[in-house]
Amino acid sequence: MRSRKLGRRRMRGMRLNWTVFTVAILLFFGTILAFGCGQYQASAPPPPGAPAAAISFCDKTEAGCTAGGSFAVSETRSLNVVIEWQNLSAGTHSQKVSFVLPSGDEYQTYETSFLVADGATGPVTMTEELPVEGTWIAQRRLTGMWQVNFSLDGKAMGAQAVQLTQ
Amino acid sequence: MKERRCGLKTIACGLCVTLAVLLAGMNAAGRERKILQKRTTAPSDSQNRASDAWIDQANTGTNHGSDGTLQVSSSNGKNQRALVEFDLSSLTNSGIKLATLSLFMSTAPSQSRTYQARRLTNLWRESDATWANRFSGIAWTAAGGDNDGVTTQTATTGTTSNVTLNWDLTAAVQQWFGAATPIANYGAQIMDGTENSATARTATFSSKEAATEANRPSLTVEFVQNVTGLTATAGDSQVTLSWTYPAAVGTVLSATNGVLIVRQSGGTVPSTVVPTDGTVYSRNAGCTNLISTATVVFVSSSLPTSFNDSASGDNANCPPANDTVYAYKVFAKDANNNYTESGTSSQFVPFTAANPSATASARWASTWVAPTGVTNLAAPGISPNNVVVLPTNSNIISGIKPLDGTFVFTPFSTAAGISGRPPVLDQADDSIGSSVSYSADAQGFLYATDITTGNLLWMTNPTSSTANGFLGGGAVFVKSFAGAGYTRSSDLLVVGTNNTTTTTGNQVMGVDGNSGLLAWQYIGGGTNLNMDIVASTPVVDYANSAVWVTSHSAASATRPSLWKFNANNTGTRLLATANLNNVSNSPTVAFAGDVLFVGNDSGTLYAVNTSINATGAAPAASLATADTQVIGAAIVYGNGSPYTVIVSTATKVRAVKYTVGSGTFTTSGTGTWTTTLPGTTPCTPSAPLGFDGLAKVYVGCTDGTVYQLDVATGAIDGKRFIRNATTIGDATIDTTLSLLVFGTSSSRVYAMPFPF
Repeated sequence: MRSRKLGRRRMRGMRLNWTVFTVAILLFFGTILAFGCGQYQASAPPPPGAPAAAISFCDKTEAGCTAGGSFAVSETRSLNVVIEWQNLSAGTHSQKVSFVLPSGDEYQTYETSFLVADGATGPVTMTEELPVEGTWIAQRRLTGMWQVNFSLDGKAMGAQAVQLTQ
Repeated sequence: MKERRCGLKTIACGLCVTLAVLLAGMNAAGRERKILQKRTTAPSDSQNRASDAWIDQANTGTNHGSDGTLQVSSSNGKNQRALVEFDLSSLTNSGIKLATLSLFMSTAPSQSRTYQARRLTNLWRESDATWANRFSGIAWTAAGGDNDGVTTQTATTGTTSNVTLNWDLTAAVQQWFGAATPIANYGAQIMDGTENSATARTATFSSKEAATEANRPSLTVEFVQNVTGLTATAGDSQVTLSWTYPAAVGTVLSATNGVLIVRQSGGTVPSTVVPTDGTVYSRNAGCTNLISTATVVFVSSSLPTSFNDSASGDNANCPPANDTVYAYKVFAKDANNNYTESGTSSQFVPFTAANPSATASARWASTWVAPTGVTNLAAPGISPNNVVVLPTNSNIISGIKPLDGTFVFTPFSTAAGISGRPPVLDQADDSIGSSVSYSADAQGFLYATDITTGNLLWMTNPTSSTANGFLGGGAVFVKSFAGAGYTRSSDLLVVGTNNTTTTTGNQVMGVDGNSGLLAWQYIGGGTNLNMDIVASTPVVDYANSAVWVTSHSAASATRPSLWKFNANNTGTRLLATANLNNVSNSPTVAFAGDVLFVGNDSGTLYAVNTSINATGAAPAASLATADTQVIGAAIVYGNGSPYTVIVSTATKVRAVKYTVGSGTFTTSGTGTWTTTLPGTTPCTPSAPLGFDGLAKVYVGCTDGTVYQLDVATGAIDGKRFIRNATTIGDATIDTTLSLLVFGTSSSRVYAMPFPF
């Protein structure tokens, strides 16, 4: 899986702090090894203050949401896409999450509005749920490398692959 | 204010008058005067989804749907916003060019303000919408209205009252109407661009309930109409297309003068194939003039009605090769070279597919192809030779005329995707009084739609929760078909929930077909049996006055997954259950009503006596299919026992026999067969489609092909390859027109003549 989390990169003036960057890279791989959870941050780190997102996947059951980057459709209840938005301005925002089949055809798109309160700080976490158990995905074995495209307020923010297996 | 209802012809009613007057005053346009029309639509009570309201932050639970005004205000913690939704049903088969929202401001704010128009992103109801809620008991995900976070357009109010403000909503209407991935039309929100003013700044606009008709909201749309009735006929190294031009439905600004046709090998022309308005296109000698990935094969400005794609016909430059699937997309154009795409998408421009061949039996052409925007594998609902109801995962339902693929009604928006087949009933049979289709969506909303007009007869969320969504469709217990055992006075719609957050608390409910009111419900858990998700469509058992529902069982073999319910209002609700492990498929009740057949997700086919009357009842017989899962409902042949049962599994289609009382399936002998589907790794089939009396059975596969099997032998004796890397969905048959209609993972629904 090509997932990667670049971590938070800090800028001082126009100079890049490579030390922090390298540490972030190491932290990222550590996270992957520790949790096996695919995450993504828009590949070109945004300038300070620009909206950014980290994306991860998990299989949601009654017992909780088990993170991963590859899911067996015969055993997955629903694929949850967890997006952690950062640097959002106050007001109403809308995220769009599109699930694209390995063939490149679009399976489904969800659009969800959410509110960031005045003065709110810290990330906003949104979850989009793609049912799998009992759906066409499980019934017709729509397996392979899917792509999840996500956007904010009509602007594409990135894409991430997720593997569905039999 | 009391709710108004009117049709377009009712002059004295609400804003629909605007449209009616314009229609009446328009030219009875000939073919030559129909394109790029300008007209005004307005919220109309003839469809419940055309609405306006305003919402108030100071009174978060107060509804203003019936007010004669719409208010927009910036005031600290007391902001007000207007919601406006238009019925676009009269704009069928069009490419949208311009859309302008106009609101009459009767009272200007005391200081000039900038008002934003934003696209709404969630279903709401005029009579329920408040600052907090979009529907009774269902909150907006963002208080104050779920919008797309994008300022579509702004208008400056000034401080002069009694003026009209305009917003350009072209992009939004194009998205609603024809985007590559269509976006549901929930209307627009008008809000102050700088809310929370220390001093309240408020404007008042006329709503659709305003006394002065001319002041009511309007949406002026300019559009170019598509051709209609596009058909294709395949021959030897040739394909012939024909079409007609629709009559104008608005004020003609520039007349239609012809078509631009593009062609692409494969089963589709992508929606990204979009000609540029104002550009003159032509076919060149080498046919290298492309629009995106498609070849320009024909351009005419003399109102042609056919195109013969052959060396000896209209295309000497690059005729089609035999045994290749071609898709054609036909853009109507006007004298100014405006084409029928909507902005950046040609999603709704008519196209068709054909396979020329030197061998007559290998030639084929689709009768029509319709867009669904995203993957659609549910069997469409159908009233033969009347309407095909297409549910989609893109929150849109559309009605298609089976004969030629034109819209019977414009796609309309639902709260969420629909993945179950919508039942369709003729007026002569149902109790609601008009031909109707019932749809169930993934947010738990149910819709009754008049399939003649597209009017919404009712919609409801019976559990007031978006968590209790529906994955399967609804089954209708039709009063006129029922025996004396059915004591309700009207039809009953039965659905089961797919709440994935619980393996115990899902529910099955009966909803009155006439009103949408909840008649009864069975909620799993507590003193009831635990119920996991319902992924299938229930089945009505008229012989036993019962409804059968399958569910998952948390993968347990000791929990119920087949349920028999009493459909009446009174009496014991749950009549019987059987433990069959996870079941995603609907059962099939045999014609005589003595037995049903159902396959589970582990590859076992069961026969269950319909007379069972206890929980945990044992099935009458079971058959391990030697495959990993059973797919879809079985087909059952025979008016009485013994029955032939045809069933799809993960890689095969099988025919077995079952004699009631025998306790076992017969898998050998005459009439039984097993057909492994083609492919190095055999493709996975859809549910089989056929009926008693039809000598063929059809399955769509994950290799992009529809296969025709002989019912007696299982031999594959015909096929239609649609497109690589495409999954074919469950099919529906139009028995009157001999058409197969099926969706695909490539965002298209195909109608194709059978037998192959």
